[in-house]
Amino acid sequence: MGRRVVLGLAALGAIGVAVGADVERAANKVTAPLRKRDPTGLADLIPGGRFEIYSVASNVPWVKAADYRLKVHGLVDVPLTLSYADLEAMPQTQLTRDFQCVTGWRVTDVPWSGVRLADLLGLLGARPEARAVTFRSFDGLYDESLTIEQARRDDVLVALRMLDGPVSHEHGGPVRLYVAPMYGYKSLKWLGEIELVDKVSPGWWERRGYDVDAWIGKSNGRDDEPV
Amino acid sequence: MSLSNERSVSDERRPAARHGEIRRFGPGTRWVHRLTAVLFGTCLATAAILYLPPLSLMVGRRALVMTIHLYAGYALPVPALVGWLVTGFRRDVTELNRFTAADGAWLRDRSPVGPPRRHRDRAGTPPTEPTEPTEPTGPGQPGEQPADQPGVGGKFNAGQKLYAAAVAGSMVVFLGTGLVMWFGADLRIPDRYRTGATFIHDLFAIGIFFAVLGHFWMALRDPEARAGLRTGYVPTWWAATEHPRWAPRPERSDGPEAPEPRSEAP
Repeated sequence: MGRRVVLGLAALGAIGVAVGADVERAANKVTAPLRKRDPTGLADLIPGGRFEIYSVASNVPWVKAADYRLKVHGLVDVPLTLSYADLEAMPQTQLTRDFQCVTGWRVTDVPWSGVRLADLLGLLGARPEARAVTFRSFDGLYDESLTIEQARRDDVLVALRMLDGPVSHEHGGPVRLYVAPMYGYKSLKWLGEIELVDKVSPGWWERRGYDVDAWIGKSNGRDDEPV
Repeated sequence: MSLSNERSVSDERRPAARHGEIRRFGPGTRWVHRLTAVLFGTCLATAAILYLPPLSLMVGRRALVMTIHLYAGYALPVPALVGWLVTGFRRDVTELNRFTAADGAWLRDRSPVGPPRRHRDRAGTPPTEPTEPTEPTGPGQPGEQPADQPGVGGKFNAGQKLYAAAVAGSMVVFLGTGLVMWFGADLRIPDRYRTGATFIHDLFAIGIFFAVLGHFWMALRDPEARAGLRTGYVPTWWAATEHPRWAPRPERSDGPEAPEPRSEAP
C-alpha cells in the first residue's frame, strides 16, 4: 500500500510533466484575472503565469525616482547623466508584450511604457566605432549587452512604467530595460548605467552559460513562440 | 524514571535496559530521519527564496541559492538509500509499507467525508479505535496480522504510513522533474515537458510544504513521539496507547531490551 502511494505519486508526476504545460495554460485563464484584482499578493502563490523575481546581488539599493540618475557614456559625443524627470520628459512609447523567461515561465500581455533606447542613443550621438551597448545595474553586479543594431530596434525600451504603474522596486524600478524579442535575462533591472562600447561582452547569466544572442524561440535550445 | 532526566543522558552512556521504556528507533532510522529533515528543510527554505518574490528580493544571490537547492535536492534520497544498509531502518520501512485492516479502520474513523464516512455511519461504529472486534491488545500481542509476518504493521498508525509514502513519492517526483528542469536544455527535452516539469515541481512543493507543516503540528503535540526520535526510547504506556498493535522484537544490535510485560496496557 505504501509502495502503491509512492508509485501513484510518481505516475501522477509523470502525467503532470506530459500535460502540465496545457493545464497551466488553462489555469492561467482563470487565475490571470484573479492576479490582477488581488491586493494581498496571495494569488502569486499559484504556479504559472506569474513573475518570479530574480536578483543576483545580496542587496539592491532602494532608489526613489527623485534620486534616480542614469549615466550614459562611452563612445559618444555627448555623455549624459539623466534624471527620472529627464527620461519622463522624453517621448514615451507604449508596448503590450509578453515577458518570457528562459527558464520557461511567461507572463502574457504585460503593459510596458518608456523611452525607446534608439531615441536615447540618438540624443547622444553614437560614434561610428560604437558597435555595442553595455548596461549595468545599480545592484552592483548585473550587466548585459546588445549589439548596436539590436539596441536600435523599436521594441527595446528604457522602461519607466510596467503593469499600469511605475516600475516597482522588485521589478527593477525605478528604471529598467525591456528587450521584447529576447529572453528575460536581457531585460536588465535597476538600470544604472549605459555605456557604448566597441564590442559585445557577455552578461551576468551569459557568463554562466546562456546565449548572448537571446532571441526568444531561437536560442538556449528553446522553441518558445516569439514575442 | 522521568523523561526529562533521560533527555540529558547521552546515547552512549545510556543504560542498556530502561525501566518503563522501550526501544522504538535504532540509530539507523534516527539518522536517516535527521539528515532527511535537514536536507528537506534546506530544499524548502531555498525553494521559498527562489519562488516567493519578497524573499527572492530580500536574499538575492540567485546563483548561490540555486546551487544549494540543487545539491540539497540531489542529496535528498541519499540518507534513506544508505540507511537501507541498516537492518533496523529496513525493518521500519517494512512497517511503514504494511497497511493492515486496523489501518483501514483508523482511516475510516478519521475521514471527514465520503464513502468511508458513510460506511462508518452505517456500521454504527463510534469514531474511536480500534473498530475491529478485538480484545484490548498491548504491544507484543499481534492482532489480526497477516500470517506470513506476524506482528508487522503495528508500529505506525495509518496517517504516519501515508505521510511517509507521500514524502517518498514526492521525493521521486521532485528528483525527476528537477532533473528535467535542470538538464532539459542539454538533453533537448521539448519545452512543453520542461514547462510541465516546472509546473509539477512547483505544485508538489506547495503540497509538501503543507504536509510538513502538518508533520510539525503532530510532533509538537506529542513530546513522547519526539523523544522516540531523539533518544530512541519511548515510555511503555505511550506505546501501548498510541500503537497498541506494535510488537517490538528484541534487537541484538540495539541492546538487550526485550518487550517488557504489558500488564499496564489498556
